[in-house]
Amino acid sequence: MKKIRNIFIDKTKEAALLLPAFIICALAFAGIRMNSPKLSPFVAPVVKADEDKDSGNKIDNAGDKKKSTHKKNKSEGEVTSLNEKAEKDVVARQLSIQNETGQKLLVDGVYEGSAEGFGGEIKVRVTVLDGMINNIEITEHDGETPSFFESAKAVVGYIVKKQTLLVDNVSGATFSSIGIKEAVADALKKAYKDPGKMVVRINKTNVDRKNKKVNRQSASKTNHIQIIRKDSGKKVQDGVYEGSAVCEMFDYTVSLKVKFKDGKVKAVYGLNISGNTDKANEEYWIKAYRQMVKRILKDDVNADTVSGATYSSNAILEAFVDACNKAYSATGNRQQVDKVKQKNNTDKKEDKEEKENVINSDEKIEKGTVKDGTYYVTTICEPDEKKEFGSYTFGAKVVFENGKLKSIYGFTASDESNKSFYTKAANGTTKQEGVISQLIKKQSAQDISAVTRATCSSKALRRLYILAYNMAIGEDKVSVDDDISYEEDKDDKKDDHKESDNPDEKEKTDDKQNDDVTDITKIDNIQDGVYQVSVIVYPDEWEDFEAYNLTAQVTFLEGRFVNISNMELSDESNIAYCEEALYGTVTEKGINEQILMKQSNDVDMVSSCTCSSKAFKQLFEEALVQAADKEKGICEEEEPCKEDEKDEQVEDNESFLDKEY
Amino acid sequence: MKKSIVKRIAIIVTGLSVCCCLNGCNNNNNGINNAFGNNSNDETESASRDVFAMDTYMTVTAYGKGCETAVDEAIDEINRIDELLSVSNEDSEVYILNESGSEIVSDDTKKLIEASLDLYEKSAGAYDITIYPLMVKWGFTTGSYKVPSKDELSTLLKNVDAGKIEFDKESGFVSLPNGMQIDLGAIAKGYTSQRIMQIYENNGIDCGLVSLGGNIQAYGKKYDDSLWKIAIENPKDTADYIGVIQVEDKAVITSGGYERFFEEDGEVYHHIIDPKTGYPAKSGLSSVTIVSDDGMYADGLSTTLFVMGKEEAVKLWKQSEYDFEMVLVTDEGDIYITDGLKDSFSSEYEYEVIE
Repeated sequence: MKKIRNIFIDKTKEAALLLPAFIICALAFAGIRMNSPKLSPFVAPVVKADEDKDSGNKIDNAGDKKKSTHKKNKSEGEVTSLNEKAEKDVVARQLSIQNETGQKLLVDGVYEGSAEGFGGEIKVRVTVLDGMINNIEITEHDGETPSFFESAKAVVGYIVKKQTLLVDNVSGATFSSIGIKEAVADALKKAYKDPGKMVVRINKTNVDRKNKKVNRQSASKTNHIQIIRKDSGKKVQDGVYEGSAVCEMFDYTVSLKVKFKDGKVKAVYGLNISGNTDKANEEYWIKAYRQMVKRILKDDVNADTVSGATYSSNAILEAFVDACNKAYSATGNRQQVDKVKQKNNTDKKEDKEEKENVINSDEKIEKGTVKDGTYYVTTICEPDEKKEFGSYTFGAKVVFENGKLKSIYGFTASDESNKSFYTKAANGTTKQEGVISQLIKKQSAQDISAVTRATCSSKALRRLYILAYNMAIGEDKVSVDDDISYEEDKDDKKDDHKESDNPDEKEKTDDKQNDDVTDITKIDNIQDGVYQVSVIVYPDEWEDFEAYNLTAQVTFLEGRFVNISNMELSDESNIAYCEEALYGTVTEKGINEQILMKQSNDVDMVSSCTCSSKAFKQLFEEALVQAADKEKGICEEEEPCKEDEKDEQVEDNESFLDKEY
Repeated sequence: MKKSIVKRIAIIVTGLSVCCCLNGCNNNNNGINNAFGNNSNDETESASRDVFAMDTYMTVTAYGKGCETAVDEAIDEINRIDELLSVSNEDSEVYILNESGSEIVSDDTKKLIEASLDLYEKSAGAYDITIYPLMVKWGFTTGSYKVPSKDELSTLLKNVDAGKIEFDKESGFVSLPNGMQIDLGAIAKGYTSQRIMQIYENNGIDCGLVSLGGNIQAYGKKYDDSLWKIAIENPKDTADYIGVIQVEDKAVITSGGYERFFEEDGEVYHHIIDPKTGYPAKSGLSSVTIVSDDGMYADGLSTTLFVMGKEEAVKLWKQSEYDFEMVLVTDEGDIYITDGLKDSFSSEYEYEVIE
């Protein structure tokens, strides 16, 4: 037991080193069980439960569960309606990252914590019982606007219910919501068993917290926006410039004016939000706006960096940067104001995009040779925080000719109800240029602007281009020859089906299987369709859950893997792990995406949920077997967990243990 | 007793016997347009312009060589400051500050805010630039007057406290808490007349006089080398004046409930709001005239002392934080002047000298 605990601690430590910004969350979540079945795919939650041998604990847990289900009936409605409006701030997503720890790391007791809310200090009293957050009492909130605070209070209920700070903020009361969460985190820090380590970690976040006075939100954000003035010796052209930005979160266009005098920003004013349909947001906006203006002006006096921002603040900031750019370009002698968005590590999509960006540009420099042809590529189009649609698989044919992107056409979507969006993204609107034409013009995936109200599709489309490009330069494992021109393949397909009984073919696949890698593109006889497959998910040696049945549908389209969907679990309490495994975490790609990209079972496990990851891999393999004319034996089950790997970990932790104890 | 106070300051220019009615806003028959610059001495060059700015009528006059340029520049300056400080002009610094909450203000605005915060402190809050939302509520900014409810006033009063303004003298950074709005109108005219004095000096003119909606500031002595004679109107009788002050290089600025007022249910409500109560100040004074070298402070002080009342006003005068003299007229009609005006003030009424 001691060993295990140290594994957790070690893991947390590693993660902390990598992602210092998320530490608070780790503190807050350590040892907290997450048992909400209603998690979004992006918000991969999950602190592993401490299924202690302590039976008393179990009973209490059950009791808690009961309580929360009881509460649910009452609050569910509120929750949904709140969620509809609620924005998920970056904090919430950050909080998910540290969830791999599972041991009871909270010491029972009553802890007080405080944090800055909107108008002053929020104080909370958190009761920890059996290592769980039992009760949260808000003891002080004088500075909060009563109406906002009343709405924000709902957050407390969610925290207790979900045993995590990974809950939505209440819209229009974001500041208070974050304040409450931070106060709870502050209290939980004290509840942590190993405060020595906490201090180190907290200190790291404190670096970010320096500016807290300036903007309390920066404390919980790692989303920096930096305005770098190159050659700042030169002045901008004085005057008033109007800048605008799209707030993707809410789909508003934000515009404002920036007044320059003596080469400096003197005022940021004239906020105008078009497309704001929710009047309730107005006051919130004004607050965010005033806050942001103040910071911009203050920071401009002393520094060029503004750190931390919420969606709305971000949009304001972007509009500001836009205006600055105009001011700089107005000098004739153009000076660039670069907006460097230090990608928030927790923001999966952005992170991914950035990586792709880098890969893409690197590849272009190094390889440069694009093999002409038509590439069929698919990706998953994921919804943003608004969850206005479900994830769907999005495919298209990308044509390269004379080494250049010529066209993208032949769109397919697993859910055609999204057609209007991806069409808009592809072709643009009267006001905005479509992604395809941008890509063709630029011949690069960089600086592609998304089409408003079709941002997710725009991003997906851009990913398609990157995937196809990588294929075209021979980067991807998927061999170009195999994949060139889907049209031609189609004709061959029938023949392939006939050949599928050919023993050679079998051998071929068998060979692959020996390598434990099945490249789906090497299998020519995959029958399109949706295959329902069940596997049993076994716990690893930690046995922190009981074996359960996982059923899901695996879709193959045009001989390629499309996605795994509609998963069902015999034990719903594991849903969070499964979602994380399937959709990935902030730092790791989910199984779905990995298989999709590689079209092979050569996938990496999602670290905090290896068992479910393996299960999905197995699920895919099973489905592949079914799809390939139900030939058995293509893939064999893997061991539930790799023993070697674990031994190593234990060893590591023993050495760690020696040092620390 | 007649509570409605309409006040005029008559400027008596000896030899011309021109009387000028400078009546804030409810005056459409004043003789301002021909108040100055006519019949001027043949030997002395003179120029005069009228302008409507800062919601009031203004006249600037200059004598001597370069007076035309001086007057032109003065008008430009009035317009410039008006644009800077107007609460309704969407490009004004004050408007921007009120809208966005924070701003790095220009030197002019910086000086005004600095002076305002100074007055706020010295007057223990009797002078407060953050009462603007109250002025709006009362309708003094628009002319559609109404008496707000107590609830409305107490809600608005929560955001009245100039002490909460964040201000950095060095950079000119100003930040207002949520819900707070400011109006620098109460000292803007005084500041403007002060600026015009500078323009006059720069242009090397002989002498000049500015009247910005009741705010008088004199530059030098009159062209015939006598003192400027400035009459202070009797708050009880608009045709009468309570006395005449002879000055050179001084601002003579009077505040009373005269600029804006309205009657509702027999009650008269004037425009000088007490930041403590949210209601028109009832301090027992019907007019306060400040005589000082500095137009900006004179302007601010006249309002401040009107709110504070006689006792507090005398206290502040005695502290001599600011260098000024004053003429107070109480609701009862008693006239008090401070020691420094003993020799320059003359009146047909009885008056008392505060020492």
